[in-house]
Order: sequence, then C-alpha cells, then structure tokens
Amino acid sequence: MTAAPGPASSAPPVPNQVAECSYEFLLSEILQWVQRDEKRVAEQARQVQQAASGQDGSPERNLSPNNEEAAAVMAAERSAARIERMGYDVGYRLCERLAQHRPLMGPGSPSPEGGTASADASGNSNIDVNAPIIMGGGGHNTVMDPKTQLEAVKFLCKEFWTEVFRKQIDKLQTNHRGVFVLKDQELKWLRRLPPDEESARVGAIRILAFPCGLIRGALANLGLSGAVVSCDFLADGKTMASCSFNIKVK
Amino acid sequence: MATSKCSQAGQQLWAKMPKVGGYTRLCFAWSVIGFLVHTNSSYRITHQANAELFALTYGSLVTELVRDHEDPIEVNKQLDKIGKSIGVRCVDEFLAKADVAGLGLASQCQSLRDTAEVVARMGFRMFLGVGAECGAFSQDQKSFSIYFHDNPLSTFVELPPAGDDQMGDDLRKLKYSNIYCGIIRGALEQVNLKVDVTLVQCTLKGDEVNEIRVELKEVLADGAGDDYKEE
Repeated sequence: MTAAPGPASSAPPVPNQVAECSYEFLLSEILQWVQRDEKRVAEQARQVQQAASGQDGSPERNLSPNNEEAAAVMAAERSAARIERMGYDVGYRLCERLAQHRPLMGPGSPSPEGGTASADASGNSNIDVNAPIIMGGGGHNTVMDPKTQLEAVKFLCKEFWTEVFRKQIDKLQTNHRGVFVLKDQELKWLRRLPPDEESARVGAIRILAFPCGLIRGALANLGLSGAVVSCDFLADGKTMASCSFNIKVK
Repeated sequence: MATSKCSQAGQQLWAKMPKVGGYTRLCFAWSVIGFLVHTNSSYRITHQANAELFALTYGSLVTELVRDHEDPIEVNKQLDKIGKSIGVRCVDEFLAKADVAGLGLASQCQSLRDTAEVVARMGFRMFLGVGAECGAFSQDQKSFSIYFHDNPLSTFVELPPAGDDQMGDDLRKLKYSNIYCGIIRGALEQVNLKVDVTLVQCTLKGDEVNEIRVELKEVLADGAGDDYKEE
C-alpha cells in the first residue's frame, strides 16, 4: 500500500477532524494488540530456536528461568521497536503534510539542490520569509548548521506537537551541538495512568515509544535523518504524565 | 489501562436505565444523543483530533498486520477483533455523553429500523464527523445497510492494482476498513444485539459508496441470568 493523495472528486471533502476519543481508542487498541502479539512472536521465536537445537541432535530442554526472562525482555523490546516503527511512519508522513501548509524556515535552510546553506542564504536577501519552503530530498545529504537544526526542532515542538497533542512542548533545551531535550509536563496519553504503580511505569514506557517514533519520523522528514531519540518517564507521584524526549542529532 | 471516567459514568448510567430489552435501552440512549445532535452545538462537545493523523495511524496498523500475516483474510479477522474492543468503549463513551447532557427519558425507539437510524446518523457523526445513512432494509426487517461517502480512514490510501503477480491479487481481498465492522459488532453486542457485520462496498476498490451490511442474528437475554436473582 502506498501513501498517495486521493484523486480529486466531486464528492464533498473528507472532514479534517475526527472526535478525539476515536483516536485515543484506536491508539490504545493498537498498543494492546502489540502487547497481545508479543506472545505470538515470542512463541514463533521459541519454535525457531527449538527447531534449530533439535537439528543439532542434542535435545536441549528449555533451560533455566534465565532463558524465559531473556525471551520476555526480548519480546518487550521487539514490541517497543514495532511501536516505534509505526510512529516513525506516521510522523514522517504527518510532518510532510504539515510542512506543506506552513512556512517552515527562513533563509539558511538547505535548498533541494544541496550545497552550502549559508552561501545560498546570503545571496537571497529578498526572499519572502513567509513563503513556504519545502524540505525536499536534498536535505538528507547536507549537514545542517545548528541554527537550522534548532529551527527544525522548534517546528516540531510547536506546530507538529500542536497537531498531535493540541499543545506545544513545554520546555526545549539544547546545547547547540546537536543534543536537544524536550520536556512535556502533561502528555495527553499518559494522563489516565494510576499513580505509583510499577505496571503503570511499564505501560508508560510502551506508550512513549509511539511519540519517540513520531519525533524521529518528523525529524527525518525535516532533514535531520539519523537522529537518535530516547525518552524518559518523569512521573513523580503527583503527575503521571510528564516525560522528556532526548534527541541526539549526528 | 485504568478505567476511564467516561467508562465509569457509562456504567452508572447503565445501572440507572430502565430494565428493558436490548433495543429500547440502546435506542433510549442514542435517541437522547439524537436530540443533542439536533440542537446544533452538541457535536462540538467532543474535542477534536487531526483526521490525517487518525488515517495515518490506522494505515501503519494495517501495514504491520499485512507484514505479519501472509493471508489477507487473517488480516481482516484481526482488524475485526481490534474493532470489537473499540466498539465496546465507543458505547460507553456514547452513554456517558448522554449522562453529561443530563437529558431525561426521551422517546424510545421500537424496532431495528430506529436503531439503524441512530447508528448511522448519530454514531458516525459523533465519532468520525461523517454523514451516513441507513437503507436497504430486508423483508423481515432484520438487516440493513449503512452507506457513507467519506471514509476518514482511507485518506492517502491506494490499494495496489490487481496485477498478474500473486501479491497484488491477494491484497485485493483485504478489507481495508474492516475495523468498522468490528466496532459496530462490539457496540451492538454491549446492548444485547448480536449482529453479523460485513463490509460490502468500499471506495478504495472503486465502488461509488462505502456500504456496511448489518444483520441481526439474535437479541441476547438481558442481565446475568436466573442464577443471580436479587436478594
């Protein structure tokens, strides 16, 4: 299945908003499905392992609890990776849609033809700052200067985050050398977790994999491919919904 | 996940409702919502989410499913199952909104036809923002179809054309929006209507309109049965 814009038709345009609860239900069901699927995937992996050990001729029983635990951890990691991959796809495509409609960056952004950013910019002093500049494929090969990186991350924190969560990132910190920390005090999806429970922590990490993927996808679309995004869950008993995302750009 | 406030409200309302059969209970709730929807500002009582995000998230789910399961029929089944859990939560949400609106007993609907109207007109409008209609009632009044033109889930989606290679042909058997079938089935089961729901026509495959066929199988008995008589 490819993602392509639908053909123009005489039918009335599809509404651009759905009820928020529909989205929340869909997302939570997806996360639950991934969790249920963990077992199926783990089972498959175990069968493959048994088949392999069976071929050696030495029947090895399923070893110690260590094996079980390791398998469980691996299954959890696989699910997290899967959710993150889904988030990446969604983030990449959504960012492309959003960047089309908004003026993205001022002078200094890499042009689609590549080449040094600053040289181009200084020559174009009369470009309309509000004209939308589409970040094309050329952005992937050029190394962005820190100022443009910051612009990209700011777009992520403001417009992108607003579209997804109806609010902006609460705090953005950077060391101007490619490391950014985004803090959100109240992430919508985490609001309903019961406080102070271990299972809540596990659940939160799972939920947070999706926004990590969203961020990675959005950054890839903005030209910062190869960013490494990790997340921290900063619950402190009072509010279960605060978290931070650490971005490291090459 | 923790029980949401809406779900609790829904359960409370459920307990308060008159102990009548499945239809009337559902139709009471949804006709109340109907009243709400008609008094114009009601649809805006829900917060809104970006529809493109919705479509893209669903798209990534279907992509994962297709990647995992070779057989598109299996994918359809999985989508149906996922939809069923969503349907259960949708009904809760619906009833909770009725509670919030604080409306008293409105007129109750008497037949499957009224239920159909409510599902198509109110349900789709409330959760998806699209207009839908019901029609094509069968002779025995036990099945109906829901028609809608705009499918928010299928923005940006194209199914690969049916080519000579096996992959393309197989994916034509995929019912992309099968999750709706699961949602309607799950929702109606919560109000004691056991139904069979199938996606008959789909704009992704070139049909003019999306059609979902709903058939009533049976009306389930209300309550927990004779073993649990009240003391």
